[in-house]
Amino acid sequence: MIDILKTRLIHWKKQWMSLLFWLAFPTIGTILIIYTTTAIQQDSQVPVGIVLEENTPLASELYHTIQQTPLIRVVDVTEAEAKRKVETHELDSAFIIQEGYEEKIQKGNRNWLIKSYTSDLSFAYTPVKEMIISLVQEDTGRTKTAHIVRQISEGSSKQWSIEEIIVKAKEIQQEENLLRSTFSFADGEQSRSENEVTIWNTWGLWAVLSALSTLLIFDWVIKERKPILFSRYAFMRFSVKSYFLQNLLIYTIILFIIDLTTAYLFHVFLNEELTLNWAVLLFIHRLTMNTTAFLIGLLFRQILVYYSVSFVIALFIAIISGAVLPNDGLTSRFTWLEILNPLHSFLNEEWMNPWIIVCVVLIAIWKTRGVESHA
Amino acid sequence: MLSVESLSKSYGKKEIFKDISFSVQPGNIIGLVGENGAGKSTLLSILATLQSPEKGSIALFELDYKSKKREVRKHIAFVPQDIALWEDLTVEENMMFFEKLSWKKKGKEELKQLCSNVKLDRWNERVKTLSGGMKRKLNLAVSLIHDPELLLLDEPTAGIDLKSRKEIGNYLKKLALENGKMIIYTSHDMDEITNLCDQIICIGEDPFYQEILTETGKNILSF
Ligand SMILES: Nc1ncnc2c1ncn2[C@@H]1O[C@H](COP(=O)(O)OP(=O)(O)OP(=O)(O)O)[C@@H](O)[C@H]1O
Ligand SMILES: [Mg+2]
Repeated sequence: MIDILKTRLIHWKKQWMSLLFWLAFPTIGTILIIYTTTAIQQDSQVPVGIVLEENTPLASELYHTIQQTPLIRVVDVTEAEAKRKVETHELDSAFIIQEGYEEKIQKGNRNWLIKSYTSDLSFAYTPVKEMIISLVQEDTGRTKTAHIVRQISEGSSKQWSIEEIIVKAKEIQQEENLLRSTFSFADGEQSRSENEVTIWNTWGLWAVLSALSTLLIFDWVIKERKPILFSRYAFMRFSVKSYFLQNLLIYTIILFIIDLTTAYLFHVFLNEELTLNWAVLLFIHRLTMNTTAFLIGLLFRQILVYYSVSFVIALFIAIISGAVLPNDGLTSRFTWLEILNPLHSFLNEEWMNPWIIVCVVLIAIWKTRGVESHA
Repeated sequence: MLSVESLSKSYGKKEIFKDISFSVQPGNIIGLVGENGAGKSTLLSILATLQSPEKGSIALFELDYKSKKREVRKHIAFVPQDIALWEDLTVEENMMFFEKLSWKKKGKEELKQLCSNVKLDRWNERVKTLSGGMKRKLNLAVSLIHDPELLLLDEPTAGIDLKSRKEIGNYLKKLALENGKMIIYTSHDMDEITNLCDQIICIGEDPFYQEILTETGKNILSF
């Protein structure tokens, strides 16, 4: 094993550039893609200045609702800053939630709640204004209802405070929301939370890139099966198959170390979870990828054909796994696609992986099927 | 010693050779001759355990080829007619690579010595950039790493310049005489064969070869 590792190092020394590139490619690629898409997304968000003059529950609730709106990036400013930045177009527009906001709402006063600054280039102003108005209306409406409910219930035994009524109203609203989303879920439509910012699934993206790089790294299976070399392998200490299997093991160890490093980097840079459970899943996944790449490699003799097939396979996996683009429609129509997909178990965090069983059995058959070809 | 008994081989219906029997003692150098396509390479690769004969039996030091293949291989060096090396690696790396997989451990100095025995001194050059003759020399050196007893060389001197050819010939002679190696090799150079070999085996009964061979005055076996 040590000797085989040494022969491997002799090869790696020659190809360290491309080897290093393909080892790092899935990890770095994923981090870069996620960073740039998030950056682009943030860039396309409109900067809107908000001045929060009071700290009451209603005011800060309004503030948070605006903040969570997907297309808006909230910038905290003072009123003076707001004015200047809107003039210099640093901010699209600015809104000031004025002192006395809550009090005015509770009194049913809907005027002079919000003050705004705009310029002739403020294209987010109207939609944001509309949104704020509707939010304010919701709030004032709710308060008004509460007042009416209290007036009606005057004299009855149970006395509700305004706050209680508002809380109750919100509860009812939320229950209805819940109900509605459960219904739509049953229809097969996926309910997506509106605030989800990342379109890309980190590990899904990584899995696709890593499938490609694993296949390309495994080109040694073809390169080292050149017929003429078998006249050398015949006279070595190891049998040809044990030589190949030990190399497979070495690659699996190395790539798994890289995978663990990847998990750590994703944890640091992309806030992905880092658990022992995940490490085990990752290992099963690595074993699956490597045995698959090894077996595919055994099918080919021409390196260029193998490379092209690798790209095709990676593309195919990318499409059917839905790892990159959601494809629920496709897989719900053709459920067998999920079984075919080698990434399925991994991305769904299932320990049982049919692929690895098939691959291990095939490799065992290959190992025991005695004949060594060397023609 | 190597003993070969009534060996036959055919590819499909095409018979390559039939009923070949001979034996080789330690210290013997055997030349294998015959026209192109006569079956020299085929015979060598059978003697190297890489192919099985149709009929007949072979034994090396009483080890039967069929039942003790792995054991037999430890004692064999096979130099294929084509170059079996890593083109991207240097001479040194090729030697180191195959040493790691070999039955015998050898230090860098020993490997270097082996190369200079076959007159190859481009230690740090990539195989890709070596000339055809130099590749052949390395092809030979790599096969000798595990100190085998039976050397099967398929045209080891083809394309090698006259001076190196002489030197390699002398080295082979020394291996046979001083170290008691058995050597079977093919060549199309009749002078070289005459010079080195104790015995000549001719495959194919081409009268042209027969005539030339009788002129050498050597012990000749024809099949
Ligand atoms: N795998 C094979 N299948 C079928 N026929 C083969 C195979 N290998 C070799 N032959 C045939 O067997 C015959 C002997 O080939 P071989 O290579 O042993 O000849 P040779 O004496 O070494 O020739 P050369 O001097 O050109 O090296 C040739 O006619 C060749 O076409
Ligand atoms: Mg030949």
